[in-house]
Amino acid sequence: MGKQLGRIRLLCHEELGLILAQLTDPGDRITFSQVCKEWFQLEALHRSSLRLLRHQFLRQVLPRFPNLLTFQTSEHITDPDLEFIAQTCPQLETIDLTTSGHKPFCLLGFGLVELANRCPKLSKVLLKRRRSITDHVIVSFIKFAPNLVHLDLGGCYSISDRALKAIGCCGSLRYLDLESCGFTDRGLGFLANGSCSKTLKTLILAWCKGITDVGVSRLQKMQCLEHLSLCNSSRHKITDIGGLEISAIKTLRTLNLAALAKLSNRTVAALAENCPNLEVLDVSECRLLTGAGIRAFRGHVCLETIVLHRLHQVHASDLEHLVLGCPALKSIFVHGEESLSEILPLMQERTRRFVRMGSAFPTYSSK
Amino acid sequence: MSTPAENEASIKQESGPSGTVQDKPKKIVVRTGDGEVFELKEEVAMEMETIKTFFMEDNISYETVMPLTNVDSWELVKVIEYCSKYVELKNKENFHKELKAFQDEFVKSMSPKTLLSLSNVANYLEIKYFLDFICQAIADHIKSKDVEYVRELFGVENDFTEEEYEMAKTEAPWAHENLDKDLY
Repeated sequence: MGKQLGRIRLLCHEELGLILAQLTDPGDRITFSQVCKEWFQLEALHRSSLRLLRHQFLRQVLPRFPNLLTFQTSEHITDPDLEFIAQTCPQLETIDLTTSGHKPFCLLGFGLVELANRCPKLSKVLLKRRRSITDHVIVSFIKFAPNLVHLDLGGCYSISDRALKAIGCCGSLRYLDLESCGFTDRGLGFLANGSCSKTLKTLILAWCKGITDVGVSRLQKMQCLEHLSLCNSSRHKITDIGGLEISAIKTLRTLNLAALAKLSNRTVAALAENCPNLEVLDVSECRLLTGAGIRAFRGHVCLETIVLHRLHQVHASDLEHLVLGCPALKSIFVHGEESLSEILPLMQERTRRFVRMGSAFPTYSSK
Repeated sequence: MSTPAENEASIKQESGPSGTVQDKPKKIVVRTGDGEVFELKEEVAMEMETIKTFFMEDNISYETVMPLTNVDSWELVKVIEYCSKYVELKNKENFHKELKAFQDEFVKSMSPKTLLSLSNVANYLEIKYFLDFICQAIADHIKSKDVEYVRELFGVENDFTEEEYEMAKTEAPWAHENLDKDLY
């Protein structure tokens, strides 16, 4: 209830909270917090997300924000730091520790487990390039966070089959990034046979050196997989055998097969025929592909984007064929000015505008 | 409409042209802080949780005049205006579009102080959608304004010391920043 001060009624916290919820501009929120001490505290209590820019201020800054839902930092962080975050912000749903990888490796072990233990709503965890994360940590972590929805372990080189076995048991996992991790076909088997096969929609297996056709074939068991990336993985151990198995995943909407040099027209033809929902395809640097393979997509109803970097056996006429034959097509991406200047003059006016420089997926190279 | 037995006495019955008996819509009577008496349609009155609870909890007869000591008559007029319109539009097809048009007109000539009073009333009468709307209107008023304006509007005194104020002003850039919710 508002207090009454003469004719001016001061607003209660509930009303201030409702007003604050409508102030999304950071400048307005700062203004709000500067009105008086009470409002300064109130604004902090209503803050739901924070990015820490300087590691040394964590303990000074965080206690003001006990209702945080999202915490992000790319800085150096230790296990005691994570414990502190867990104690201070029990409502946490998302923690993003994605880093550039040039920081000194800090031990990330029991801190994460403590986080999972104290924050029951934790559902999204990003640990990209936190290279010191081990299987042991992930196994313990999953025990306390079985309802995880989003997990990014890209760049965590030590992650192997053992961690994947635990991850496979997650019953709500929708997004899993295992770029550059050190698991094998056996690990993929754990994922394919586990509970997560029922819920996983996005699976990133880029730059994974330990997998072959055997593991890739197991992915057929994924019941609702929509986004799959195998780019730059085991370049010579994934062949058309694996490619054909992938084409059996009917739910696929985006597929990145860049740099899988053993894939041929057979795979592409199978994809065109068996994946009716495919919207985005990247077959860059799959050198065995020719125009005939690309033309197999003629008549595909859903294809919107296709990425064809450095495919020297695919020519302007093939691209034209594609444009005219795919009703939903919006973009054909080629690599660089040179390719464009070679191809465009050979195409008709009306089909030229579909061909551009660029890519459909973020580049996975040395980041 | 249903007719609770104990209220039969207070309902005037009229015959329609074809000779059938029609019930007059039930009214709830309230008295504001400045002594004015208002008759509210039952369906409008029931939008206000405070009034609803008062009558429903102890099965109080609609003949009782409910006191609303914290509400001024001009405020109640505005509340009735909004709730009546809301009830009228509730089940219509273009609900959101028509409500938005009404809302824009409703706050057009209102001063921020008026809005503040109405938010108090909305909170006291427990009308959630009205409170949300008024708070949104207040928020719109203080967007892009400076601290002094906001302090004056809300009648709040600056109780920071100089050092405290400097710290509050400069903390964000070097220690942390807000993330936009939409990033996630």
